[in-house]
Amino acid sequence: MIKFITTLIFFVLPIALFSTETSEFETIRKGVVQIKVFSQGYDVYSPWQTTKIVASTGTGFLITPEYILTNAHVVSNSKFIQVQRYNQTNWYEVDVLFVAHDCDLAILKAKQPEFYKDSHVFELGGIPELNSPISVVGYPIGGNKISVTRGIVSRKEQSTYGHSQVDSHLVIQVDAAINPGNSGGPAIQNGKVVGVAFQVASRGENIGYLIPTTVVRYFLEDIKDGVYDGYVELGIRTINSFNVSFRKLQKIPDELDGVFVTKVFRGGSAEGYLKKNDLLLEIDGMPIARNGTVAYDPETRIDFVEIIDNKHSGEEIYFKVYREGKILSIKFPAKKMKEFDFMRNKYDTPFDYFILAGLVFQSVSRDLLQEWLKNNETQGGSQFFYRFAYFIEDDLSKGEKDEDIIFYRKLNHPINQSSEYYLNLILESINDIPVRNMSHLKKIIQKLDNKFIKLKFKDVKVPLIFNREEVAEAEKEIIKNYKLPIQPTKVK
Amino acid sequence: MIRLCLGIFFFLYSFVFANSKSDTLQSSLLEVKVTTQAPNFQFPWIIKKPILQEGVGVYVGKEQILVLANLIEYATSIEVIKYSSNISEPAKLQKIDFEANLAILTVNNKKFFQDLKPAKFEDKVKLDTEVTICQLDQTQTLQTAKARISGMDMDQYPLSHIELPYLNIVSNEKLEGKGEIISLDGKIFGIVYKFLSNKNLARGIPSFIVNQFLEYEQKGSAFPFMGFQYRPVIDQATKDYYGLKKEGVLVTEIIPYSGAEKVLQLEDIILEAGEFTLDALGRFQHPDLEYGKQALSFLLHSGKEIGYTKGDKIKLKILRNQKEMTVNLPLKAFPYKAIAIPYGHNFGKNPEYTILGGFIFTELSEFLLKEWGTNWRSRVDKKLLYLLDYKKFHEPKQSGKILVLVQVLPDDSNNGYHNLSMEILKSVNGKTVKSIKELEKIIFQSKEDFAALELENEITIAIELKNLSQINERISQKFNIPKLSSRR
Repeated sequence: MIKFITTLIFFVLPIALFSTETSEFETIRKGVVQIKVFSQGYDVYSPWQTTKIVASTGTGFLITPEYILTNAHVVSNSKFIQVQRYNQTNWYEVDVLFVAHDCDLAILKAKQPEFYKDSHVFELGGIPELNSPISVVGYPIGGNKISVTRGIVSRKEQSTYGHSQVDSHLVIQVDAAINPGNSGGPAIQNGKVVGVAFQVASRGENIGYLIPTTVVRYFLEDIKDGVYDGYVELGIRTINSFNVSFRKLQKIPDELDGVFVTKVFRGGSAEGYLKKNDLLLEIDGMPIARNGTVAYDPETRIDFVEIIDNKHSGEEIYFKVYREGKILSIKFPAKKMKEFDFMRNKYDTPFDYFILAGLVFQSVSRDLLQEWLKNNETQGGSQFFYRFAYFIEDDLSKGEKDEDIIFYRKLNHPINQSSEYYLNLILESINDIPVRNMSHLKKIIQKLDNKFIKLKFKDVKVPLIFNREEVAEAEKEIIKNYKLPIQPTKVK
Repeated sequence: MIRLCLGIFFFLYSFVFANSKSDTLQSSLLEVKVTTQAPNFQFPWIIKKPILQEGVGVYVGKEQILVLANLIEYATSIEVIKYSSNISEPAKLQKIDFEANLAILTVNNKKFFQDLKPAKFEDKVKLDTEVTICQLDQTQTLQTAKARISGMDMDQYPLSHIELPYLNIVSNEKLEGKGEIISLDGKIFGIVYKFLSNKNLARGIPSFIVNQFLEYEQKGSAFPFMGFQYRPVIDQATKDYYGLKKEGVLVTEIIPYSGAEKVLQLEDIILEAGEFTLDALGRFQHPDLEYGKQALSFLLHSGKEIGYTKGDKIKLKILRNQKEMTVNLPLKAFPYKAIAIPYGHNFGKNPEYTILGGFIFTELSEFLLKEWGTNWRSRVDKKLLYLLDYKKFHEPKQSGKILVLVQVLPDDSNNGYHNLSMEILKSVNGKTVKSIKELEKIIFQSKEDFAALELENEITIAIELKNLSQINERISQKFNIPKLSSRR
């Protein structure tokens, strides 16, 4: 009898365990979504033209009974998106409800309710432990069926998100194979989602990156009011407080740790609250060490700015500060810095441009810079490269302009034969009116009534001159020759 | 029969005669061997490895040997070898003109010159002709190559700040660009200073430039600098805007401390220079028809043959505020004081630097940025590149240099700053500092306890002055730095 029972236990138990695993996966695959996208980008170099249409795929998963979560880069510039789940035979069209380019996440919703029949909604877990196992589920290239890869969590660190190239948040590094097509798919541990697959190591080794659930939760919280506001910026630069001489110079008591503020950015959360040489002692009650870290939990120290990363627009930040011999409590609301937008790759919006006498003007953007580099341009460059990299750092706007506008391309016509000299320079003013931004530029053009149009460019003392009436005439020819759309703003 | 013999005779004679013309040149040429040790601008207490270079010297009489200046820049030892012996004779620098890329060497042993024939450089060059490029080879024999002068243009020579005329040379053979002479029938039209192997093109310093250099006996360069930049005026809109009814060029930039500073203004239009009218591109008709039209800079920088020498004044007819007027432009030396970021040449001097408490400070220069290798333009910090391209010259009344913290030699005293690199120094104790000399003066003469050095990125470095000598000593020992300053 005992022998029989023992045999039964040895046989049945493993079978029971095995079927639990399979049934777990059966459930999981009901929540993972295959995404098919047709996208059409905007041509930054010829912004009056449309570009080719590209088909691509990605993965998503159900985060609520109606919301499909995926990466922003899967659906950027999309014109038509369809989704399909396990064992479905139809492809279902979706709408993009929310996109967050600053953390590479997006929410889709199927137009037809039958898409959601017999589905599984994932629960978000926490941040997985180092060395713990995870499975990444999705629809990578190389096949049409769902696929699973396994790996362990190798590292957790603040790092740049490739989609915008400027934002950095927590990233979970795993050694599971993540391939194009996997983007947007869930990384699962104990049946819960612990990350969203979104990036692969550039050298194609077995290294993949996941967006942690803290970022996902931040995104979901933000969109509750129907609008995605975006990540906030503290807007300061700091330096460690190790140096004994500098501490003495600033008369800092030995027992104080923290980091020194070296710069406060215009438009940042700290503007008007923190000052240069403030010693930041605590953030939200957590002591800041001399190297700028706080004890996030007993085992992990993180950079204090990561605390700010988790705050929503309007949420208070609490600092304890040592300033001129006194310890102060300073609090202020976290805010998003729109000033950084120009440094992000742009998606889903056309590039704003203006053509004057064949000179093409556009706001300086990362997309334009990247295209410029690809074209192997040789003239100029160091002016706008510097200004792009240091616009906020060096406060180049001085509060007087919103963006740099550059003359980056010339559509040849006899009227602009003398303008070669000014190619790739930043436009400063038109008829002595400093240009604030693209719409201001158009307003100035609309109102021009002098005989001459005088364009002054940065770092060149002598202006470029046009005859206004000649320009109005020439533009008709230029539009015809280059097959340009007619601009609403015109030189009279 | 006699006619045939005479024919053969003359044929052979001209053949021999032609050769002997070249042979004559051989007795004017020398091989120059130079050991160069360039400074390291990034780690300014280090001198780079010695490099051995070879080039051509030309005996020009009066115990003077002409060489290219860029051949002997930073030379620690120079030797010359003449055609008649393979013994190298030590040579030393007698005179150098960085703007003309030319220098004179001499030799102590006066007997050395006895069998050398002085070469004569022609006053006029031929601009469209086949030529022979000559130098001595390793065995001190005359080596020649065929080439062609295809024209003359204006540009800065290596090391130069002033654009001067250069000969465009086309050659299918490999040239060196180390001072070989350009000759035709025994006449010397110039020396080769650059060779672009992938394009079969070379450049030469014209003989009349060499002569101007040889004749000049005062200090500094033989060549003046116009002191302004100009742009052609070719479109009607610009002409109407300035009220220009003739042809001329627009003044777009005036260099401080130059001859032009007190005489010209931005947006002046230059119509005539001297007795010459300018066309829309700023060219004038050279009195020597062979030279055709030449740029305004030719007249103002190298117009000695036409009667405009350094030190003279040239009358310019200009259009200013829609009215014609005349001004006198003094042809002065290049205003080195106007340079904020040195480029071209450093007068053969080693970089200025000082290491204070492990912080290495030096002057921002193109030479410093070029230490980043062939692709330095894409490797250096964007801000420094921008400054070099657009802020090389000062605004009027400004002067001095820009100081850069290159690197920090780590020590406990400068803990926390070890990652700083290539940052511009904004001020010391609140005061702007324009030279290494000034920086050292403030630090070493300060009565304060601390020196606060603020960088342009707003990080402040604090140096406790009473410990400074100790720290300096420690760093000097640890990193084997013989001299902590270029000034001491």
